[in-house]
Amino acid sequence: MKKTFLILPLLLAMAARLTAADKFYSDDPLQNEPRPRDASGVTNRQLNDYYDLLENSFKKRGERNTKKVTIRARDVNTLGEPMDGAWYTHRHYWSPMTEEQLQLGIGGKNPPSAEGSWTVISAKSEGITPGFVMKDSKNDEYFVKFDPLSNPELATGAEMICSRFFYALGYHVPDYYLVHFTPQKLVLQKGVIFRDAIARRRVMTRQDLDSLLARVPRTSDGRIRAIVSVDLRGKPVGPFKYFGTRGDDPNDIVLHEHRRVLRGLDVFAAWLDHNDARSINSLDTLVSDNGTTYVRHHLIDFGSTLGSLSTSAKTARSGGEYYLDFKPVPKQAFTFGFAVPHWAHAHYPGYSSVGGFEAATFEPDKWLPDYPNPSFLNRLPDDEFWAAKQVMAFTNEQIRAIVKAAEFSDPAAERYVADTLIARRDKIGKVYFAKVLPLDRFAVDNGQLVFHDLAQEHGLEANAPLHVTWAQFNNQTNEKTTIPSAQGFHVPQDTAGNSYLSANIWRGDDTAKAITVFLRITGSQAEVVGVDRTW
Amino acid sequence: MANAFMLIFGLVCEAQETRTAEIEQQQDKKLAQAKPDEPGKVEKALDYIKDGDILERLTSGYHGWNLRLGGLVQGSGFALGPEYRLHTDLLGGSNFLVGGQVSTKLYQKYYTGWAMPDLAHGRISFDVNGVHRNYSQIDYFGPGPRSSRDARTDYRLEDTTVDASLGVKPMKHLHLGGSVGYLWMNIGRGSSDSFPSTDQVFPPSIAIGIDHQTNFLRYGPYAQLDYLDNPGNPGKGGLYTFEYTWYQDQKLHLHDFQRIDAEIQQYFGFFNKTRVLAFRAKTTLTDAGTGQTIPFYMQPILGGSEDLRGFLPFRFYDQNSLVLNAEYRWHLMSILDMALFADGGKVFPRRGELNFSHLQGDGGIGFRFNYEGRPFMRIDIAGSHEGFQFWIKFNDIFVRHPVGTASAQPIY
Repeated sequence: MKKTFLILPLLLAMAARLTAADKFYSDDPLQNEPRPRDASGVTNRQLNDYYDLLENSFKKRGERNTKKVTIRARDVNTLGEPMDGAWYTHRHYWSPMTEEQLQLGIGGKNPPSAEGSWTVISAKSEGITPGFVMKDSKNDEYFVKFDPLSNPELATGAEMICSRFFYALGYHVPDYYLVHFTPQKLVLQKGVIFRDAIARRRVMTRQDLDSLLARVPRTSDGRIRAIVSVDLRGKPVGPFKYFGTRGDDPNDIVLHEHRRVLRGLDVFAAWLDHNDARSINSLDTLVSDNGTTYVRHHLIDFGSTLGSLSTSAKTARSGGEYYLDFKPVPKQAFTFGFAVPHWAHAHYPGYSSVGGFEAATFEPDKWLPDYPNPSFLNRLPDDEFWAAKQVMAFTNEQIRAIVKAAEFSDPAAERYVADTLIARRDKIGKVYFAKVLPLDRFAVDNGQLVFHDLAQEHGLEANAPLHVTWAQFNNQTNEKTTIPSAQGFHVPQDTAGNSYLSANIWRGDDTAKAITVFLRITGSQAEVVGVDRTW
Repeated sequence: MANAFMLIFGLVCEAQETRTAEIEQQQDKKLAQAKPDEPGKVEKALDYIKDGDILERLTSGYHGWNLRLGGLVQGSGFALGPEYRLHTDLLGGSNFLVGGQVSTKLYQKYYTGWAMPDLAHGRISFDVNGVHRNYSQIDYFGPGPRSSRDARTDYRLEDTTVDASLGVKPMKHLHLGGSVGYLWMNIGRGSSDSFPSTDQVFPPSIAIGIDHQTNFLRYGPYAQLDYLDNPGNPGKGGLYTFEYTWYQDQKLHLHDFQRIDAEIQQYFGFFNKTRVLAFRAKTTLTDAGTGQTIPFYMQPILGGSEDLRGFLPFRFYDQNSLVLNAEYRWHLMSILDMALFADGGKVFPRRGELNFSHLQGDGGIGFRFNYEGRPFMRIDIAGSHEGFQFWIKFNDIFVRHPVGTASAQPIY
């Protein structure tokens, strides 16, 4: 018995040594998610949107970051970047897209055929703005949506623009096209069931279709403008949630509230005023690539972006406070409304095609979606920086090119939307680049550690000099041994047999906002394998 | 000891050499435990509501039928009843309506209507309505502004009306028209156990018309200028209404009179209409012909949730009335606004007294509950020198009645 007590701690110490994970593995940093496990067993699940509203408004869902416990994003490689895969693809920031590519978005190759008629195969009649599913003469299916009668070009314009931005930002999105047609182009398939104005489910008639089209605006030449989206690839299996994981998806192993692609989405949603960024506007599909079936996660439905609320222009509250936001109530009640919230000062220019979109009162870190989003609430300064650097990567010209995709009939409206996006972009850079040390794109070039100082590149205040200290880094123990002889950003040659070096960088006196860059030394080659940020 | 070795062996086996292997190991672990997510009880219940179109059936109805809440006069208690709506494309779109409600105080209302609001591409409207009401305990406190709160009595108001209106829209915001209708009246004993019936307290010389019944032919023109930004929840603009109605006593030939209704509603929204100042001025003036009188139940009435909120319903009756309302509303949250309000008003026997002196006043606070940007319920707490009143109403304070003879009556 006594012997056992002596041997057991010894064995455990050995095991600890054997099982201690290295900070860096030989294949770090991963650029792509590993080959997915077969997910063909995933079944369709629906999400009740009322339940989603109530659940997120009244319950604290997901594993939350607190003042005491901070959980960094977990879907990232050792450079802090999400990997290409089911959720995300590195796009514009890493490989700048041309203005033409940005304007086309995901496709540009599969618009509905202009030849022949379009056959309506199902319809949605409830709500103010109608919609339906149709097949073109190629037999391809499209979902068709319209603008509200009061605001021609509003929802379709917003959806065209923002689907392109979200695509360029790396998300999986549907392929959207603007179309113009006359009602005569539509043919109603026999037996289409819809719910009429008095809640009866019945077969749709041509008169019903004409009544539906009478509720959408016409262009000056009498045609109807609509946005069509191509059916997503794969079998739909319902939306994803912004917390937890999907129980039957073997590849969904990171809690969604800890995914950088979802935490950082807050910044993109704020930029584009996507107040409707919630589960119901996402869709998972089962896709097969190279013989493997896996779940791909998409963002869908961008009708409530920019100044559009899909069925009307946005009110000032959108983006300013939650739909069920009880926090401001006591202050508002007891000050008799004299404490005017910042968002209520918004001034809109009055373009019906633009709606409620502006930049003057926009405060990126105060922006809110329609109801609490666990992923958005979990975002940390490094998540925000990851998103902000992508937003800042769009030049003025590129933004203007994307806005052109909306085909606004009023050039002043087009100019206004682009100018507003540019102003909001600049605010995002200013706010989020100030929270961390905004250096990025680390590499070793000619024996020097090189990087981009995004603050300087974007004309933000960054006058103080950068400082760096080098250390030998023990990959097993994570211990650092300072190299006193190291000079500036020149990679030290004195590695003392260590395969890893670390460079700790900060600006001026602000040592809290620092970056540690890790280099792997192989022979005479040095490669950046890791980036850690502190703030 | 053997267990310790097994544990250590297991830990060593789990250690990985590559990031890919580490992730794949987690995927395999998840695959072994994979099972579909199941919705909880609350979500299942909400799914049942959604899949069964239950909300739609409650709001839009089912095959045209729905249950209507409220819709009767103030003080009726909780009212409920079926309603059938039919929309057809006939004549540019026609709406047919029939329904009835009964309240907890056994007030009854049955109605039918046929409206064609978009004739001639929306330039012309025509509607015809029929209503039968039987309200068993409408309050009466005696005539004039100095009537006593303690003199509370009640009477039964039973009437049947048929009215038709023809309107034109010569320009975007202007609506002109005329209407004609017939009114069968029956006034009876009040059914309240708490207060005496009006006929027991007030003689026919005061409560004119309480001792005999008559019928009226009524007709007249109207004009309405409406440039409200959002009729369901105005934050800017105005609504001005003027109606002139002749009432001709068809049976007794004792009660011919004319009635003028004029109302101004004005809204000033600021800070993106999250704060709104709303004002209303409304007057009703009547004039009986020589040798004619106006029955007490046809006189203008003030008091209650729609005008003087700090007073009991139907508190003041007289030949003429004036009411002024001012309300400051501000946003608390998307589904709730708060309001501070003040009401002033008076009834008066002679038209020459149409001025701002001797107004009865009240003030209070209110809460406006909104759904999709439209108020659906309000709570008002108002105080006056006659005490406090607490109102829960499913309409707006400045209730928008249809124009025409159908609404040109004291109790609508």
